[in-house]
Amino acid sequence: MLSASDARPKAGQLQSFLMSETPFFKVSGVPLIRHDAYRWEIPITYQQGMRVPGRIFASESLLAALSRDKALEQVAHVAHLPGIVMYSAAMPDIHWGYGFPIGGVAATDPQNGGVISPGGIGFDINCGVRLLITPLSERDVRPKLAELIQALYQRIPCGVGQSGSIRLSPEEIRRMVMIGPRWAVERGLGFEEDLEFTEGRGFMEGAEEASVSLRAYERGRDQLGTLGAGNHFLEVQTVDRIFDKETAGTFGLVRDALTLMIHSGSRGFGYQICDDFLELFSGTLAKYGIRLPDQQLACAPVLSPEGRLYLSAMSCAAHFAWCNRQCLTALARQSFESVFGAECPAAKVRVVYDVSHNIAKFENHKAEGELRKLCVHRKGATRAFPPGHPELPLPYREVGQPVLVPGDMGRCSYVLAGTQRAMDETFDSSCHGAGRCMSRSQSLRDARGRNIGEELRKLGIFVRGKGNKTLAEEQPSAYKNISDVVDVLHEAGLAKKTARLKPMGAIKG
Amino acid sequence: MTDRTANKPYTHFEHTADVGVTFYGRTLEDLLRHAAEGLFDLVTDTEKLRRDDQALSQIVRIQISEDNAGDLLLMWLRELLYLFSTRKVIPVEFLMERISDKHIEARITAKIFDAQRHEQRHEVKAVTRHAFRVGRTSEGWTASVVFDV
Repeated sequence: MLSASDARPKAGQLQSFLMSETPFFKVSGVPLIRHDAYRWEIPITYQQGMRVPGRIFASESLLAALSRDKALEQVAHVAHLPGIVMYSAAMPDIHWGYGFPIGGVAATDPQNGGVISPGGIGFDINCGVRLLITPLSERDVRPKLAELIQALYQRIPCGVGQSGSIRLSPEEIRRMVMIGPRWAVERGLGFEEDLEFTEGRGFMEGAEEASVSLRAYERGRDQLGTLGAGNHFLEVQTVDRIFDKETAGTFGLVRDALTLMIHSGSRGFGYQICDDFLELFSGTLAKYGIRLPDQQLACAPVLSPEGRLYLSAMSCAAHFAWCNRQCLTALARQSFESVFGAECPAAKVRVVYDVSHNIAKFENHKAEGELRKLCVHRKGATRAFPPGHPELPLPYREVGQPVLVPGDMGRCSYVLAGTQRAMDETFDSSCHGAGRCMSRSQSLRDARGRNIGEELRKLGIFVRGKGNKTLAEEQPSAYKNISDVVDVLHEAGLAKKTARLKPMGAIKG
Repeated sequence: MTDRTANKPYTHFEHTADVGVTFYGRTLEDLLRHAAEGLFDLVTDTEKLRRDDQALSQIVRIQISEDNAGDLLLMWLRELLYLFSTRKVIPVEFLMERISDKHIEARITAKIFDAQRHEQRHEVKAVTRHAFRVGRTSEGWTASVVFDV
């Protein structure tokens, strides 16, 4: 649990330290100042070299869960990045990553030496979540649930070392990474409307196929339309609670409707790009006079040749990931059609939205009193544009962006809506999931002697996975309670609870 | 101090979302071999794969030069992961033809992983530099690596 710190920081180091009522805490050795029930600060004085403070959005109990790992230390490390503005932010689902914490948000100003750090995006570039809504209800699906999950499992390759059915020639993969999911739509693997409801229409400026290594192309060649393994999944859900009828209705979400959530990313293509550039940037730190507390934060100025090259390659990987989720959507639509026929034709399975939660984007934000174009790193964090934002699809513009937040296999997931407050405080960012609270080995120990698949079946949730080990590592109790995480966002005004989704079944790698 | 190099060539350490492994070896050659075995033990049951007579075999040659033993180990693991990702090969026998702190030439007998027949454990996305360390001990060599899974 949190303990009030004996070692008060020296007077004068930070304005808020002088306020006699300010409570001080230490979690995992990191000093924290509480601003309110959901806002905590790591003072800029905590480590020499921090350019801005850390800002964590969490409840006391979620913070206490971090006492065994080094996520808060990583929030402080990120504050060392050249050109970082306001603060190194962390969402309530923050947990220990490599370099950046997972759940971390950092904005840098390219005009002031701001850097781009591949570790602030992650190995799985543009890993993200897509939500589909079907014309079916829980009642329609329950009698055919096993058949549906089996149909999805047969069509969608998942797990380790699986190849997809879409084979790309060297010319095609290069074209695909330049145009993203449009490539799939052009080949009949989706509808024009799918693109409208994908973040940024599934397109990023600046992609350049020549910026990507041959190795990345080789690793991505047979992986389009594959789910992957680990925490990636495809889940059949029902809308079991509506918090905001108007916003939910705008997103097309009504009580008992059947939804499908897809969590996957850029597969081996993105992993290799991250690897390539972490190595390149490790070698150029001295050239740009950058000193960092952790080599996994390796970075280069956004406006440097190396920085621009990474951004081009990252955009290619972002396109790969969106195209992958588009191809997975096509396979899912085929599966629904094979089981429900005319009751659920492909055209009636609509994309609610597709969000990216491992990416860097150039966005305009108010920072330190002025509107600036910043490079916003989101590593395990979701963009959350407020109502009225010009980049939102027209039908959603009055209510804000859908923020898709998956929970664990056994409890629930949420759809939230972006708010103005997130625009002001978190560079328009929100959380991306529940966040792990157990390590993988802890989960395995915890599941020893249990049959997780059977436990889920008793809850009415039918899961097909490649191995019992994956189910044990990904068991519900390995994750924080997603409801606690989204409550922080809702109460702090950073996103608005809109609808809750209850799992019925899933396929996992 | 117990001799961990003989019976337990690697142990796992706690990391919230990923997998950390500490490797041991009497020599650098042992360390590299144990690291490769530890990596692929995350991917599948390598003992079963080794004994699987139906699995196709392939000879793979690897040659790496780096500035130090740490980078050599890291690049060795990355090379093996790349070969698995693109050709589905998993090493089962190693012949280290030339080895120093900065250079390795190895001839590897590998088996082809078949997702339909072989046990699937983790998809290892990357060999990270997070908490990475390599050092000499009184017993030989040790290294810690976090794998992104």
